[in-house]
Amino acid sequence: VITGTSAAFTAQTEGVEQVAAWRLQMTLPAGPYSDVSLAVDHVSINASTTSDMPEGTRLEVGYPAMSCTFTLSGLVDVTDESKTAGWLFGPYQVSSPLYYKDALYAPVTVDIGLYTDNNAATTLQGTPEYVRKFTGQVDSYVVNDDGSVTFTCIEKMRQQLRGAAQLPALLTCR
Amino acid sequence: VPVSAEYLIDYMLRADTAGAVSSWPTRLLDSLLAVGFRTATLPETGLLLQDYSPTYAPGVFGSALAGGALQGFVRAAQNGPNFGQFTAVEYTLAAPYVLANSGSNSPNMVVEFWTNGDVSTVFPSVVIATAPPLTPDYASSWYKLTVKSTGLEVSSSLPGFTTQVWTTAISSGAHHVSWVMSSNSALGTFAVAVELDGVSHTFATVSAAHGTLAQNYVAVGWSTASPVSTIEALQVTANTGGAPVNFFGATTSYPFAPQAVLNPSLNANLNVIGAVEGDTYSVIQQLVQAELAVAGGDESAVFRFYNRDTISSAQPVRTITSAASLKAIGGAEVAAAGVVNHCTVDWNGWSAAAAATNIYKATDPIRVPRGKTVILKPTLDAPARLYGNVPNGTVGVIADGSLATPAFGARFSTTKAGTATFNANSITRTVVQTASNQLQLTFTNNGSTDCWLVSSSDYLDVPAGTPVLQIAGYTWTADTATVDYQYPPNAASSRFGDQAHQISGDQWIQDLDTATLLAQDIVVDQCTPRPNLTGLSIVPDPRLQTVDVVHIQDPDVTGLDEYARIFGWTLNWDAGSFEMTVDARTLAAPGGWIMGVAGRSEIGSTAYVYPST
Repeated sequence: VITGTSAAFTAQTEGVEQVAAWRLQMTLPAGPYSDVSLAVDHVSINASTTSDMPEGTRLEVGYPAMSCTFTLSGLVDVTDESKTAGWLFGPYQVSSPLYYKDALYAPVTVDIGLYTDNNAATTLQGTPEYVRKFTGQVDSYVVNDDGSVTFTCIEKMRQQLRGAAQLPALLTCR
Repeated sequence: VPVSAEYLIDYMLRADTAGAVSSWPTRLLDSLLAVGFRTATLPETGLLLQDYSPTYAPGVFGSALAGGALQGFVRAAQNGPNFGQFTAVEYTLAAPYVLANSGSNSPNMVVEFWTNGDVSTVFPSVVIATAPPLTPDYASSWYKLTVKSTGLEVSSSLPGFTTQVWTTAISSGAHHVSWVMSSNSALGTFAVAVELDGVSHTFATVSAAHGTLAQNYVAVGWSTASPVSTIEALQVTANTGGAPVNFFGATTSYPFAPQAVLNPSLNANLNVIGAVEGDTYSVIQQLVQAELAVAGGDESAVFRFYNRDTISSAQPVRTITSAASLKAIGGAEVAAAGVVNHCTVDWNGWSAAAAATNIYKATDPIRVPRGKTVILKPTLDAPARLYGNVPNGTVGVIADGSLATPAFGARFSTTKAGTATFNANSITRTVVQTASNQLQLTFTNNGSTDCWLVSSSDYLDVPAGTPVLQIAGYTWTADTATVDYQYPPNAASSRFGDQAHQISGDQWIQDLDTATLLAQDIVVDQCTPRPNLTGLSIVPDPRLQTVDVVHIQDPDVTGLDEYARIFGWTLNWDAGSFEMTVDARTLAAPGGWIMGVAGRSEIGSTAYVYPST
C-alpha cells in the first residue's frame, strides 16, 4: 500500500463522497507544455500481477505490469484557443513545437489527488493531496479526427531494463 | 559463491542502468572498491581476496554482511589490529591509492558504508592497509575506522598517529558512516574527517604528513565474533572533488533513496549459471518465476522484489466493506482447473569436488618474449572454482617433485628445450577466473631473454622441455534430481484426483531445499480451489497496490467476509466519474479453518494447517 497519506485522505477512501483531482505531466522534447492536466478528457490506469500460470492457479508470481491510456481533448494552453491537444501533437502542424519531432517515449507521470482540506468544495477550492499512480513512457498515440489525442503508455521499469542481461562473469558458464 | 537471486537481480539492475536502479548507491567517482554485500562478497569494483564463509542479515536497504568466520587460524600479524582475527572479507583495491600527494590539493581517500544494528559491544570496522593481511607489514601500515555506540574512532599503526575519536552517540539502527583522509606532502599535513548521517567532524590535530604509502588492501569486519550489526554498500574512492573544506569537499552517497527494494531471496544457492536469453527484465522474471516471487516497477518506478514469504505473510492494509466502500462484486470465480495437489520440481544443481585438482594444464610450450606480455584465456573442460575459493591469484614456481600437488604454478626456462631456469623474479604472472569455465593467465616478461613455460634441466621429476603450467581448483559436477510433493499424500484419492504440476528444466533452481519448499508451497496454496473475486467495484483508493491484502466484507448480500490479495486494479477517470475496480484472490477456501480461527486463513502465521480436500 502506498503510505504517507493523511488521515483525511484515508477517510475519503472509505466514504462515499470524494473530490478528486488528476495531475498528468509529460516531458516533451520541445515546447512548454509539460502539465497537460487541464486537457485530460479520460484517464485509465491498469495494473496486474502477471503470471505464466492459468489465472485460476495463480500464486502472486511474476511481475506487476502497468499501463495507462489517456485522452487529451482540451487546450494545452488555456490562454490561447488555438493551442489544442490536436495542434500540439498533430504531426503536420508546422507551428507546433513538436513539428519534426514526436512524443514517443516521452516520460509520463500520473498523480491522483483527493481534496482533503477544509477548503475543498468551497470557493477557495482547497489543495489536493496527490498520490503517484503511474510512471511510464508514451508507447503510442493517435491524433483523432475530432482533435483529441489518445495516448497509450507503458510503465517505466519495463522500458528501462531492455539491455542485454549481464550476469556475474565469475559464475557464468560460457 | 554461492549467490542468491537477490544478488543476481541487484547485479543485473545495476549493470543495465549504470547503478541508477539499485538498492545501494551508484559508484562514486574514481571508485577503487564498491561492494553491496547483497548476500555476496563479490565486488563491483576491486578484487575479492578472501571471504571466510560470510553470513548475511537484513540491513538498511537489503541483505547485508553480518559476520564471517575464520578457518581456525589467526589472520592478523602479531600486534596488528585484533580486527583481523574476525575479518569476514578482504579486498584489493582496483588500483593502488597513494595517500600522500605532491600537489597542493591531493585527492581524498573516501570510505563509506551503511551499518544497521547494535554497535554497543561489537564494533563494525573497515581497515585500509598498505600490505595484505598475513604479511609482516600488515601490522605496521594500516588505518582503521571503527563504529561504536560512543562515537567514531580512527586509529592507525603509522608512527605519530594518535587515535582520533569523535564522541557522538550512535544509536542502534541504520546509520551512514563515511571517512576521508587527505595527506599532502608538499604542505606537510595529514588530515582526517568522519561523517555520520551527513554530519561531518574534522579532527583538529592529527599528525604530520605520512610517507607516500600506497594503500592497496581493505578488510571489513567486526571487533569480535558474533556481531549484531550489519555492513553494506561499502565504497572506497580516490575522491578528487573539491578543496579541503567541509569534509574536504568529498562527495559521499548520503542521503540515499533506493530505486530498488529487494527482499532476501528464497533461492540462495546458485553456483553456476548457463547461457541466458533475453533482456534484463525477462531474465529477472526467470529468477522470479523460479521462486514464485514478484518483481517489477511500482507506481513511482521503484523496482520491488517481494519473496513469497513476504507476500504470504502480508497483513491486511484495510477493510473494504459494503457499508462504506464496496460498491459491487463482479464475480466470485472458482475453477477445478486451479487445483494443484501434486507438484514435481526438477532441480539442476552443481556439486564442487571436495578435493582440489589441477583444472588446467598447459599441453604445449608457451613462449613469453622478453619485454612482452602474453595473455592466455583457456576454457576449462568443466565449470570450476579456483583453489582457495579465490577469484584471482599469483602463479608460483612449482618445486621439483611437486607437480602432483594442486597449486597455481609453472616452471620457467630460458629455452624451449629447458636448457636453463629462467629467473622467475623477472616475470610477473597472475591468474584470474573470468567465468566459471574460463581463466585468464597473464605473463609479463621483464627479463633480458625470452621465457618458456617449460621445466628446465634443473628439475628431475620430468624431462627438460616438458610444458609446466597448471592451475588448481575445484571442479563443479552437475547434479540433478526431482522433488515430488503431493497433498493429500495420495493425491489421486482426493475428490479432484491427481492434479499434477511440473516444473522442469529451470536452471535457476539448483538445490534440494529450494525445490522442496517450492513444491510444498505450490501444493499448499493450490490443493483446494480458492475463489478469485473479480471486478470488485470500490470507492477509489489510490493507495492500493497489487499484492496488497485487503479484508472484504459484504454481510448483507453475498455473505462475503474474507481476506484477499490484490492481483489487479483499474482506475478510470472521466469527466464526472471516478471509478476503481479490483481483482483479488482469497487467501483461504470458504469456511477455511486455521489456527483455531474459523473462516480465516494463515494471516500472520507461518504454520500450515492443511485444508480439507
